[in-house]
Amino acid sequence: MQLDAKTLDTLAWLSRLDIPEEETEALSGSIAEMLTFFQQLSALDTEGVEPTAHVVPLQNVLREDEPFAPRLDRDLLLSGTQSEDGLITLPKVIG
Amino acid sequence: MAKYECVIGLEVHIELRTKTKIFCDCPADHGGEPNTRCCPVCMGMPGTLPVLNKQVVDFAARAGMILNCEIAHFSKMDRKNYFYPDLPKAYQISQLDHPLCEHGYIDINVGGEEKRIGITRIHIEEDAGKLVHTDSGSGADCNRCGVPLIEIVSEPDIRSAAQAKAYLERLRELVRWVGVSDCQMETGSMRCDVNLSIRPVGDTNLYTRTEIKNLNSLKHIVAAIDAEKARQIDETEAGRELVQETRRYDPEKDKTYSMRVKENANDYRYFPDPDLVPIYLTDEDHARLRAMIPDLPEERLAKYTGEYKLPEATAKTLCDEPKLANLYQEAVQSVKQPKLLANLMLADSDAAAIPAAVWAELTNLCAENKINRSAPAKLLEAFRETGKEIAVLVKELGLEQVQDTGLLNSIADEVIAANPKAVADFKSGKQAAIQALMGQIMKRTKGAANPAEATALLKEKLSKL
Repeated sequence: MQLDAKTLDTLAWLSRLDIPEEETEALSGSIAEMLTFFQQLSALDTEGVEPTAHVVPLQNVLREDEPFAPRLDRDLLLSGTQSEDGLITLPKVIG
Repeated sequence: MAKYECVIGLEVHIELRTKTKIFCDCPADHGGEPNTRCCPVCMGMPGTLPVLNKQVVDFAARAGMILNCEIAHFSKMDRKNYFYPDLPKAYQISQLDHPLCEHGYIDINVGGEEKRIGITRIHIEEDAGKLVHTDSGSGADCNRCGVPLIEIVSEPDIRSAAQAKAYLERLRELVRWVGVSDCQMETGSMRCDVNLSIRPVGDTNLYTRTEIKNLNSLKHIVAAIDAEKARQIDETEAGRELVQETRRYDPEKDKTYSMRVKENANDYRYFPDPDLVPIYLTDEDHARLRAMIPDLPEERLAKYTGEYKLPEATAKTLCDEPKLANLYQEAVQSVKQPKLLANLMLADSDAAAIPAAVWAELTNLCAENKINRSAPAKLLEAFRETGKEIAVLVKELGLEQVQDTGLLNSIADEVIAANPKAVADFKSGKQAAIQALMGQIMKRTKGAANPAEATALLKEKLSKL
Protein backbone atom coordinates (compact mmCIF):
# COMPACT_ATOMS: atom_id res chain seq x y z
CA MET A 1 0.00 0.00 0.00
CA GLN A 2 1.28 3.44 -0.97
CA LEU A 3 0.78 6.74 0.83
CA ASP A 4 1.04 9.84 -1.33
CA ALA A 5 2.59 13.09 -0.14
CA LYS A 6 -0.74 14.91 -0.07
CA THR A 7 -2.35 12.36 2.28
CA LEU A 8 0.64 12.56 4.61
CA ASP A 9 0.34 16.32 4.54
CA THR A 10 -3.34 16.14 5.49
CA LEU A 11 -2.66 13.66 8.27
CA ALA A 12 0.09 15.87 9.63
CA TRP A 13 -2.16 18.90 9.60
CA LEU A 14 -5.03 17.04 11.29
CA SER A 15 -2.62 15.90 14.02
CA ARG A 16 -1.06 19.37 14.26
CA LEU A 17 2.37 17.92 13.54
CA ASP A 18 5.21 19.60 11.70
CA ILE A 19 6.96 16.86 9.81
CA PRO A 20 10.49 17.77 8.76
CA GLU A 21 11.15 17.28 5.04
CA GLU A 22 13.83 14.62 5.63
CA GLU A 23 11.44 12.46 7.67
CA THR A 24 8.56 12.34 5.22
CA GLU A 25 9.83 9.41 3.24
CA ALA A 26 10.48 7.18 6.24
CA LEU A 27 7.17 8.17 7.82
CA SER A 28 5.22 7.53 4.61
CA GLY A 29 6.78 4.12 4.52
CA SER A 30 5.85 3.15 8.07
CA ILE A 31 2.29 4.49 7.83
CA ALA A 32 1.85 2.54 4.58
CA GLU A 33 3.08 -0.53 6.41
CA MET A 34 0.50 -0.05 9.15
CA LEU A 35 -2.26 0.38 6.59
CA THR A 36 -1.18 -2.80 4.85
CA PHE A 37 -1.34 -4.59 8.17
CA PHE A 38 -4.89 -3.45 8.80
CA GLN A 39 -5.83 -4.23 5.24
CA GLN A 40 -5.82 -7.89 6.17
CA LEU A 41 -9.24 -7.21 7.67
CA SER A 42 -10.60 -6.56 4.19
CA ALA A 43 -10.15 -10.25 3.44
CA LEU A 44 -13.18 -10.97 5.62
CA ASP A 45 -16.57 -11.02 3.94
CA THR A 46 -18.83 -8.75 5.98
CA GLU A 47 -21.69 -8.72 3.48
CA GLY A 48 -24.98 -8.69 5.38
CA VAL A 49 -23.30 -8.48 8.80
CA GLU A 50 -24.77 -5.79 11.03
CA PRO A 51 -22.10 -3.26 12.07
CA THR A 52 -21.10 -3.55 15.72
CA ALA A 53 -21.54 -0.40 17.76
CA HIS A 54 -19.57 -1.72 20.70
CA VAL A 55 -17.64 -4.86 21.51
CA VAL A 56 -18.80 -5.05 25.14
CA PRO A 57 -22.25 -6.63 25.45
CA LEU A 58 -23.70 -3.80 27.52
CA GLN A 59 -26.31 -1.16 26.82
CA ASN A 60 -27.96 1.81 28.53
CA VAL A 61 -25.24 2.49 31.06
CA LEU A 62 -26.82 5.65 32.38
CA ARG A 63 -26.58 7.75 35.51
CA GLU A 64 -29.23 9.77 37.35
CA ASP A 65 -29.11 13.55 36.93
CA GLU A 66 -27.82 14.24 40.44
CA PRO A 67 -24.93 16.62 41.15
CA PHE A 68 -22.06 15.38 43.26
CA ALA A 69 -21.53 17.98 45.95
CA PRO A 70 -17.84 17.84 46.90
CA ARG A 71 -16.02 19.43 43.98
CA LEU A 72 -12.35 19.05 43.23
CA ASP A 73 -10.43 22.13 44.23
CA ARG A 74 -9.55 24.28 41.25
CA ASP A 75 -5.88 24.54 42.20
CA LEU A 76 -5.67 20.78 42.27
CA LEU A 77 -7.56 20.47 38.99
CA LEU A 78 -5.26 22.93 37.27
CA SER A 79 -2.07 21.74 38.93
CA GLY A 80 -0.95 19.83 35.85
CA THR A 81 -1.34 22.74 33.52
CA GLN A 82 -0.15 26.30 33.23
CA SER A 83 -2.82 28.70 34.43
CA GLU A 84 -3.45 32.31 35.27
CA ASP A 85 -6.41 33.75 37.21
CA GLY A 86 -8.09 30.34 37.10
CA LEU A 87 -7.89 30.15 33.31
CA ILE A 88 -5.84 27.55 31.48
CA THR A 89 -3.09 29.44 29.67
CA LEU A 90 -3.12 29.07 25.90
CA PRO A 91 -1.15 30.51 23.03
CA LYS A 92 -3.01 33.51 21.62
CA VAL A 93 -6.00 32.22 19.70
CA ILE A 94 -7.89 34.42 17.31
CA GLY A 95 -11.51 34.02 18.35
CA MET B 1 -31.99 40.35 -13.95
CA ALA B 2 -33.09 36.85 -13.01
CA LYS B 3 -35.16 36.48 -9.88
CA TYR B 4 -33.49 34.48 -7.15
CA GLU B 5 -34.77 32.65 -4.14
CA CYS B 6 -32.90 31.51 -1.03
CA VAL B 7 -32.51 27.92 0.01
CA ILE B 8 -31.94 27.89 3.76
CA GLY B 9 -31.31 25.14 6.27
CA LEU B 10 -30.84 25.89 9.95
CA GLU B 11 -28.75 24.14 12.57
CA VAL B 12 -29.94 25.02 16.04
CA HIS B 13 -28.07 24.13 19.22
CA ILE B 14 -30.09 24.12 22.41
CA GLU B 15 -28.73 23.57 25.92
CA LEU B 16 -30.80 21.11 27.90
CA ARG B 17 -31.92 22.20 31.36
CA THR B 18 -30.42 19.28 33.29
CA LYS B 19 -28.89 19.65 36.72
CA THR B 20 -25.64 18.00 35.71
CA LYS B 21 -23.53 17.74 32.57
CA ILE B 22 -24.03 15.10 29.90
CA PHE B 23 -21.20 12.75 30.92
CA CYS B 24 -20.27 13.73 34.49
CA ASP B 25 -21.93 15.06 37.65
CA CYS B 26 -20.61 18.63 37.41
CA PRO B 27 -23.35 21.29 37.64
CA ALA B 28 -24.58 22.24 34.16
CA ASP B 29 -25.90 25.74 34.87
CA HIS B 30 -24.26 28.93 33.65
CA GLY B 31 -21.88 31.03 35.68
CA GLY B 32 -19.32 30.31 38.35
CA GLU B 33 -15.69 31.35 38.53
CA PRO B 34 -13.63 29.98 35.61
CA ASN B 35 -12.86 26.26 35.91
CA THR B 36 -14.87 25.72 39.10
CA ARG B 37 -17.63 23.67 37.45
CA CYS B 38 -15.52 21.07 35.78
CA CYS B 39 -13.77 17.84 36.66
CA PRO B 40 -11.28 15.39 35.15
CA VAL B 41 -14.07 13.84 33.02
CA CYS B 42 -15.29 16.98 31.25
CA MET B 43 -11.74 18.33 31.07
CA GLY B 44 -10.76 15.22 29.14
CA MET B 45 -8.03 14.05 31.46
CA PRO B 46 -6.51 10.65 30.71
CA GLY B 47 -8.02 7.67 32.47
CA THR B 48 -11.46 9.16 33.02
CA LEU B 49 -14.69 7.63 31.74
CA PRO B 50 -17.86 9.38 30.65
CA VAL B 51 -21.26 8.07 31.82
CA LEU B 52 -24.35 9.27 29.99
CA ASN B 53 -26.93 11.31 31.94
CA LYS B 54 -30.35 9.59 31.70
CA GLN B 55 -32.15 12.92 31.80
CA VAL B 56 -30.36 14.04 28.63
CA VAL B 57 -31.84 11.11 26.71
CA ASP B 58 -35.31 11.79 28.16
CA PHE B 59 -35.17 15.53 27.45
CA ALA B 60 -33.89 15.07 23.90
CA ALA B 61 -36.58 12.50 23.16
CA ARG B 62 -39.24 14.85 24.56
CA ALA B 63 -38.00 17.63 22.27
CA GLY B 64 -38.07 15.16 19.38
CA MET B 65 -41.63 14.13 20.14
CA ILE B 66 -43.05 17.66 20.29
CA LEU B 67 -41.23 18.33 16.97
CA ASN B 68 -42.96 15.32 15.36
CA CYS B 69 -39.80 13.23 15.06
CA GLU B 70 -39.44 9.48 15.05
CA ILE B 71 -37.53 8.45 18.16
CA ALA B 72 -34.84 5.85 17.68
CA HIS B 73 -34.95 2.44 19.28
CA PHE B 74 -31.20 2.17 18.82
CA SER B 75 -28.84 5.11 19.15
CA LYS B 76 -25.14 5.54 19.85
CA MET B 77 -22.48 8.13 20.59
CA ASP B 78 -19.60 8.98 18.25
CA ARG B 79 -16.43 11.00 18.50
CA LYS B 80 -16.00 14.02 16.27
CA ASN B 81 -12.32 14.82 16.19
CA TYR B 82 -10.97 18.33 15.89
CA PHE B 83 -8.36 20.45 17.54
CA TYR B 84 -9.49 23.61 19.18
CA PRO B 85 -8.38 24.94 22.56
CA ASP B 86 -11.93 25.11 23.95
CA LEU B 87 -12.20 21.33 23.58
CA PRO B 88 -9.61 19.75 25.88
CA LYS B 89 -10.27 16.17 24.73
CA ALA B 90 -9.62 17.18 21.09
CA TYR B 91 -12.88 15.45 20.21
CA GLN B 92 -16.49 16.22 20.85
CA ILE B 93 -18.80 13.37 21.83
CA SER B 94 -21.72 13.67 19.43
CA GLN B 95 -23.84 11.41 17.23
CA LEU B 96 -23.20 10.63 13.57
CA ASP B 97 -25.23 7.86 11.96
CA HIS B 98 -27.71 6.94 14.69
CA PRO B 99 -29.14 10.18 16.08
CA LEU B 100 -31.78 9.95 18.79
CA CYS B 101 -34.52 11.59 16.68
CA GLU B 102 -35.17 11.87 12.93
CA HIS B 103 -37.74 12.92 10.32
CA GLY B 104 -39.69 15.59 12.18
CA TYR B 105 -41.28 18.83 11.07
CA ILE B 106 -42.57 22.21 12.18
CA ASP B 107 -45.56 23.91 10.60
CA ILE B 108 -45.24 27.65 10.20
CA ASN B 109 -47.50 30.37 8.88
CA VAL B 110 -45.95 33.40 7.21
CA GLY B 111 -48.21 36.06 5.75
CA GLY B 112 -51.15 33.66 5.71
CA GLU B 113 -49.17 30.99 3.88
CA GLU B 114 -48.90 27.64 5.66
CA LYS B 115 -45.63 25.82 5.23
CA ARG B 116 -44.11 22.65 6.65
CA ILE B 117 -40.38 22.78 7.42
CA GLY B 118 -38.75 19.37 7.68
CA ILE B 119 -36.45 18.43 10.53
CA THR B 120 -33.75 16.06 9.35
CA ARG B 121 -32.48 14.99 12.74
CA ILE B 122 -31.93 15.84 16.38
CA HIS B 123 -28.86 14.49 18.09
CA ILE B 124 -27.35 14.84 21.54
CA GLU B 125 -23.82 16.09 22.13
CA GLU B 126 -21.59 17.94 24.58
CA ASP B 127 -20.85 21.67 24.51
CA ALA B 128 -17.29 23.01 24.33
CA GLY B 129 -15.66 25.36 26.82
CA LYS B 130 -15.12 29.07 26.44
CA LEU B 131 -12.06 31.02 25.43
CA VAL B 132 -11.22 34.29 27.09
CA HIS B 133 -8.97 36.58 25.08
CA THR B 134 -6.69 39.10 26.73
CA ASP B 135 -3.77 41.22 25.51
CA SER B 136 -1.25 38.73 26.81
CA GLY B 137 -2.86 35.66 25.26
CA SER B 138 -5.86 33.42 25.55
CA GLY B 139 -7.24 31.38 28.42
CA ALA B 140 -9.61 28.43 28.54
CA ASP B 141 -12.55 28.10 30.92
CA CYS B 142 -13.94 24.56 30.97
CA ASN B 143 -17.14 25.29 32.93
CA ARG B 144 -19.26 24.84 29.79
CA CYS B 145 -17.40 21.72 28.62
CA GLY B 146 -19.86 18.85 28.71
CA VAL B 147 -23.04 20.88 29.08
CA PRO B 148 -25.70 18.83 27.26
CA LEU B 149 -26.87 20.09 23.89
CA ILE B 150 -29.32 18.98 21.27
CA GLU B 151 -28.57 19.93 17.69
CA ILE B 152 -31.68 20.29 15.56
CA VAL B 153 -30.95 20.18 11.83
CA SER B 154 -33.64 21.35 9.44
CA GLU B 155 -34.17 20.34 5.84
CA PRO B 156 -33.28 23.07 3.29
CA ASP B 157 -36.99 23.97 3.16
CA ILE B 158 -36.76 27.59 4.25
CA ARG B 159 -37.02 30.22 1.52
CA SER B 160 -36.80 33.58 3.29
CA ALA B 161 -35.66 35.38 6.41
CA ALA B 162 -39.29 35.67 7.50
CA GLN B 163 -39.74 31.89 7.26
CA ALA B 164 -36.50 31.33 9.17
CA LYS B 165 -37.76 33.63 11.91
CA ALA B 166 -41.14 31.87 12.08
CA TYR B 167 -39.42 28.47 12.21
CA LEU B 168 -37.12 29.55 15.05
CA GLU B 169 -39.92 31.16 17.04
CA ARG B 170 -42.07 28.06 16.82
CA LEU B 171 -39.11 25.81 17.59
CA ARG B 172 -38.33 27.87 20.68
CA GLU B 173 -41.96 27.86 21.79
CA LEU B 174 -42.28 24.09 21.49
CA VAL B 175 -38.97 23.16 23.10
CA ARG B 176 -39.73 25.50 26.01
CA TRP B 177 -43.21 24.03 26.17
CA VAL B 178 -41.93 20.52 26.93
CA GLY B 179 -39.73 22.02 29.65
CA VAL B 180 -36.35 20.82 28.43
CA SER B 181 -34.66 24.21 27.88
CA ASP B 182 -35.26 27.91 28.41
CA CYS B 183 -34.02 28.55 24.81
CA GLN B 184 -32.61 32.01 25.39
CA MET B 185 -30.52 33.29 22.52
CA GLU B 186 -29.17 36.17 24.61
CA THR B 187 -27.57 33.81 27.15
CA GLY B 188 -26.50 31.29 24.52
CA SER B 189 -28.80 28.48 25.61
CA MET B 190 -30.11 28.58 22.02
CA ARG B 191 -27.73 29.23 19.10
CA CYS B 192 -28.22 29.11 15.37
CA ASP B 193 -26.08 28.53 12.28
CA VAL B 194 -27.54 29.36 8.88
CA ASN B 195 -26.77 27.41 5.69
CA LEU B 196 -27.73 29.45 2.65
CA SER B 197 -27.55 29.24 -1.11
CA ILE B 198 -29.45 30.97 -3.88
CA ARG B 199 -30.97 29.75 -7.12
CA PRO B 200 -33.15 31.18 -9.89
CA VAL B 201 -36.82 30.92 -8.98
CA GLY B 202 -38.22 27.73 -10.47
CA ASP B 203 -34.90 25.88 -10.40
CA THR B 204 -34.91 22.85 -8.09
CA ASN B 205 -31.16 22.19 -7.91
CA LEU B 206 -29.03 23.02 -4.89
CA TYR B 207 -26.00 25.26 -5.45
CA THR B 208 -22.89 26.22 -3.49
CA ARG B 209 -23.88 27.19 0.03
CA THR B 210 -22.21 29.16 2.76
CA GLU B 211 -22.62 28.71 6.48
CA ILE B 212 -23.07 31.72 8.74
CA LYS B 213 -22.01 30.88 12.27
CA ASN B 214 -22.43 32.37 15.72
CA LEU B 215 -25.65 34.30 15.29
CA ASN B 216 -26.94 35.25 18.70
CA SER B 217 -30.30 36.93 18.15
CA LEU B 218 -33.32 36.55 15.90
CA LYS B 219 -32.74 40.07 14.65
CA HIS B 220 -29.20 39.22 13.56
CA ILE B 221 -30.32 35.99 11.92
CA VAL B 222 -32.88 37.85 9.82
CA ALA B 223 -30.38 40.57 8.90
CA ALA B 224 -27.60 38.07 8.16
CA ILE B 225 -29.85 36.10 5.80
CA ASP B 226 -30.80 39.23 3.88
CA ALA B 227 -27.17 40.41 3.72
CA GLU B 228 -25.83 37.03 2.60
CA LYS B 229 -28.56 36.60 0.00
CA ALA B 230 -27.72 40.03 -1.44
CA ARG B 231 -24.01 39.20 -1.48
CA GLN B 232 -24.53 35.88 -3.26
CA ILE B 233 -26.75 37.55 -5.87
CA ASP B 234 -24.16 40.28 -6.44
CA GLU B 235 -21.37 37.73 -6.83
CA THR B 236 -23.40 35.58 -9.20
CA GLU B 237 -24.54 38.55 -11.29
CA ALA B 238 -20.92 39.73 -11.53
CA GLY B 239 -19.97 36.32 -12.86
CA ARG B 240 -17.88 35.36 -9.84
CA GLU B 241 -18.04 31.86 -8.49
CA LEU B 242 -19.23 31.30 -4.92
CA VAL B 243 -17.07 29.23 -2.56
CA GLN B 244 -18.37 26.88 0.06
CA GLU B 245 -17.13 28.45 3.27
CA THR B 246 -17.97 29.56 6.79
CA ARG B 247 -18.83 33.21 7.20
CA ARG B 248 -19.61 35.57 10.03
CA TYR B 249 -22.13 38.37 10.16
CA ASP B 250 -21.00 41.82 11.23
CA PRO B 251 -24.09 43.71 12.47
CA GLU B 252 -22.31 47.09 12.40
CA LYS B 253 -21.51 46.87 8.70
CA ASP B 254 -24.57 44.68 7.98
CA LYS B 255 -22.32 42.37 5.93
CA THR B 256 -21.07 38.82 6.14
CA TYR B 257 -17.36 38.13 5.86
CA SER B 258 -15.33 34.98 5.29
CA MET B 259 -13.71 33.29 8.29
CA ARG B 260 -10.97 31.99 5.97
CA VAL B 261 -10.54 28.59 7.55
CA LYS B 262 -8.33 25.94 5.97
CA GLU B 263 -10.03 24.15 3.13
CA ASN B 264 -9.42 20.70 4.51
CA ALA B 265 -10.53 21.66 8.02
CA ASN B 266 -13.67 19.57 7.98
CA ASP B 267 -12.30 16.09 8.33
CA TYR B 268 -13.75 15.05 11.64
CA ARG B 269 -12.85 11.35 11.39
CA TYR B 270 -15.96 10.26 13.27
CA PHE B 271 -15.91 6.88 14.94
CA PRO B 272 -18.07 5.18 17.61
CA ASP B 273 -16.99 6.25 21.09
CA PRO B 274 -15.52 3.14 22.71
CA ASP B 275 -16.09 4.62 26.20
CA LEU B 276 -19.87 4.70 25.78
CA VAL B 277 -22.20 1.80 25.10
CA PRO B 278 -25.26 1.99 22.83
CA ILE B 279 -28.63 3.37 23.91
CA TYR B 280 -31.66 1.16 23.39
CA LEU B 281 -35.12 2.61 23.91
CA THR B 282 -37.92 0.08 24.17
CA ASP B 283 -41.56 0.62 23.21
CA GLU B 284 -42.25 1.04 26.94
CA ASP B 285 -39.62 3.81 27.13
CA HIS B 286 -41.28 5.50 24.17
CA ALA B 287 -44.70 5.24 25.81
CA ARG B 288 -43.39 6.58 29.13
CA LEU B 289 -41.85 9.60 27.38
CA ARG B 290 -44.87 10.10 25.13
CA ALA B 291 -47.07 10.35 28.22
CA MET B 292 -45.01 13.35 29.38
CA ILE B 293 -45.74 15.35 26.22
CA PRO B 294 -48.37 18.00 26.92
CA ASP B 295 -50.98 19.06 24.39
CA LEU B 296 -49.80 21.87 22.10
CA PRO B 297 -49.83 25.46 23.38
CA GLU B 298 -52.69 26.45 21.07
CA GLU B 299 -54.74 23.41 22.17
CA ARG B 300 -54.13 24.38 25.77
CA LEU B 301 -55.17 27.95 25.07
CA ALA B 302 -58.40 26.81 23.43
CA LYS B 303 -59.17 24.59 26.42
CA TYR B 304 -58.56 27.42 28.89
CA THR B 305 -60.79 29.91 27.10
CA GLY B 306 -63.38 27.26 26.20
CA GLU B 307 -63.73 24.63 28.89
CA TYR B 308 -62.43 26.75 31.79
CA LYS B 309 -63.94 30.01 30.52
CA LEU B 310 -60.82 32.05 31.28
CA PRO B 311 -60.59 35.47 29.68
CA GLU B 312 -58.24 35.34 26.66
CA ALA B 313 -55.62 37.58 28.27
CA THR B 314 -55.51 35.43 31.41
CA ALA B 315 -55.20 32.23 29.36
CA LYS B 316 -52.41 33.74 27.25
CA THR B 317 -50.45 34.91 30.29
CA LEU B 318 -50.60 31.38 31.69
CA CYS B 319 -49.62 29.72 28.40
CA ASP B 320 -46.72 32.10 27.75
CA GLU B 321 -44.85 30.57 30.64
CA PRO B 322 -44.66 26.78 30.24
CA LYS B 323 -43.86 26.23 33.92
CA LEU B 324 -46.91 28.20 34.98
CA ALA B 325 -49.12 26.53 32.39
CA ASN B 326 -48.09 23.07 33.54
CA LEU B 327 -48.59 23.99 37.18
CA TYR B 328 -52.05 25.36 36.40
CA GLN B 329 -52.84 22.24 34.39
CA GLU B 330 -51.96 20.08 37.38
CA ALA B 331 -53.80 22.19 39.96
CA VAL B 332 -56.93 22.70 37.89
CA GLN B 333 -57.70 18.96 38.04
CA SER B 334 -58.70 19.30 41.68
CA VAL B 335 -60.61 22.59 41.76
CA LYS B 336 -64.15 23.53 40.82
CA GLN B 337 -63.38 27.17 39.99
CA PRO B 338 -60.68 27.28 37.28
CA LYS B 339 -61.00 31.04 36.91
CA LEU B 340 -60.46 31.68 40.61
CA LEU B 341 -57.37 29.44 40.47
CA ALA B 342 -55.99 31.42 37.51
CA ASN B 343 -56.60 34.72 39.27
CA LEU B 344 -54.93 33.57 42.47
CA MET B 345 -51.91 32.27 40.56
CA LEU B 346 -51.49 35.36 38.41
CA ALA B 347 -51.76 37.62 41.46
CA ASP B 348 -48.58 36.03 42.80
CA SER B 349 -45.23 37.14 41.41
CA ASP B 350 -43.58 33.74 41.79
CA ALA B 351 -46.47 31.34 41.39
CA ALA B 352 -44.30 28.65 39.80
CA ALA B 353 -42.45 28.15 43.08
CA ILE B 354 -45.61 27.00 44.89
CA PRO B 355 -46.76 23.36 44.50
CA ALA B 356 -49.91 22.66 42.51
CA ALA B 357 -51.57 21.04 45.54
CA VAL B 358 -51.21 24.29 47.51
CA TRP B 359 -52.79 26.32 44.70
CA ALA B 360 -55.67 23.87 44.52
CA GLU B 361 -56.19 23.97 48.29
CA LEU B 362 -56.17 27.79 48.41
CA THR B 363 -58.64 27.95 45.55
CA ASN B 364 -60.99 25.51 47.20
CA LEU B 365 -60.82 27.25 50.58
CA CYS B 366 -61.72 30.54 48.88
CA ALA B 367 -64.41 28.96 46.77
CA GLU B 368 -66.06 27.42 49.82
CA ASN B 369 -65.80 30.72 51.70
CA LYS B 370 -63.66 29.11 54.38
CA ILE B 371 -61.14 31.92 54.04
CA ASN B 372 -61.69 35.34 52.56
CA ARG B 373 -60.10 36.67 49.41
CA SER B 374 -57.30 38.50 51.16
CA ALA B 375 -56.19 35.39 53.05
CA PRO B 376 -54.31 33.62 50.18
CA ALA B 377 -51.59 36.28 50.02
CA LYS B 378 -50.97 35.94 53.78
CA LEU B 379 -51.04 32.17 53.57
CA LEU B 380 -48.60 32.10 50.63
CA GLU B 381 -46.21 34.34 52.49
CA ALA B 382 -46.38 32.08 55.55
CA PHE B 383 -46.06 28.98 53.37
CA ARG B 384 -42.91 30.34 51.74
CA GLU B 385 -41.42 31.04 55.16
CA THR B 386 -42.42 27.90 57.01
CA GLY B 387 -43.42 25.30 54.40
CA LYS B 388 -46.21 24.23 56.76
CA GLU B 389 -49.45 22.77 55.49
CA ILE B 390 -52.06 25.30 54.46
CA ALA B 391 -54.70 23.86 56.81
CA VAL B 392 -52.29 24.33 59.73
CA LEU B 393 -51.43 27.88 58.66
CA VAL B 394 -55.10 28.84 58.36
CA LYS B 395 -55.55 27.89 62.02
CA GLU B 396 -52.28 29.41 63.24
CA LEU B 397 -52.97 32.73 61.56
CA GLY B 398 -56.63 32.72 62.56
CA LEU B 399 -57.75 33.14 58.97
CA GLU B 400 -60.81 30.93 59.13
CA GLN B 401 -63.70 32.91 57.81
CA VAL B 402 -66.41 33.42 60.41
CA GLN B 403 -69.33 31.40 59.15
CA ASP B 404 -71.07 31.31 62.46
CA THR B 405 -74.06 33.58 61.76
CA GLY B 406 -74.83 33.83 65.45
CA LEU B 407 -71.38 35.20 66.23
CA LEU B 408 -71.44 37.56 63.25
CA ASN B 409 -74.90 38.70 64.33
CA SER B 410 -73.76 39.72 67.79
CA ILE B 411 -70.60 41.40 66.46
CA ALA B 412 -72.74 43.39 64.01
CA ASP B 413 -75.02 44.49 66.86
CA GLU B 414 -72.02 45.60 68.92
CA VAL B 415 -70.54 47.53 66.02
CA ILE B 416 -73.83 49.31 65.32
CA ALA B 417 -74.21 50.22 68.96
CA ALA B 418 -70.66 51.51 69.22
CA ASN B 419 -70.75 53.70 66.10
CA PRO B 420 -73.82 55.94 66.25
CA LYS B 421 -72.27 58.53 63.92
CA ALA B 422 -71.67 56.08 61.07
CA VAL B 423 -75.17 54.69 61.59
CA ALA B 424 -76.68 58.18 61.43
CA ASP B 425 -74.65 59.00 58.32
CA PHE B 426 -75.87 55.85 56.62
CA LYS B 427 -79.48 56.56 57.59
CA SER B 428 -79.16 60.05 56.12
CA GLY B 429 -78.24 58.55 52.77
CA LYS B 430 -74.46 58.29 52.89
CA GLN B 431 -74.06 54.76 51.49
CA ALA B 432 -70.29 54.90 51.99
CA ALA B 433 -70.72 55.07 55.76
CA ILE B 434 -71.36 51.35 55.78
CA GLN B 435 -67.68 50.85 54.95
CA ALA B 436 -66.71 52.24 58.34
CA LEU B 437 -68.97 49.69 60.01
CA MET B 438 -67.60 46.90 57.80
CA GLY B 439 -64.11 47.96 58.81
CA GLN B 440 -65.05 47.54 62.46
CA ILE B 441 -66.49 44.09 61.83
CA MET B 442 -63.33 43.03 60.00
CA LYS B 443 -61.22 44.42 62.84
CA ARG B 444 -63.15 42.51 65.48
CA THR B 445 -63.06 39.28 63.45
CA LYS B 446 -59.43 39.80 62.39
CA GLY B 447 -60.51 39.83 58.77
CA ALA B 448 -62.22 36.49 59.09
CA ALA B 449 -65.76 37.61 58.33
CA ASN B 450 -67.18 36.83 54.93
CA PRO B 451 -67.49 40.35 53.46
CA ALA B 452 -70.58 39.61 51.38
CA GLU B 453 -72.39 38.05 54.30
CA ALA B 454 -71.38 40.81 56.71
CA THR B 455 -72.51 43.57 54.34
CA ALA B 456 -75.86 41.90 53.79
CA LEU B 457 -76.30 41.48 57.53
CA LEU B 458 -75.42 45.12 58.26
CA LYS B 459 -77.79 46.42 55.59
CA GLU B 460 -80.57 44.29 56.96
CA LYS B 461 -80.01 45.50 60.53
CA LEU B 462 -79.66 49.16 59.53
CA SER B 463 -82.84 49.09 57.49
CA LYS B 464 -84.71 47.94 60.56
CA LEU B 465 -83.41 50.77 62.77
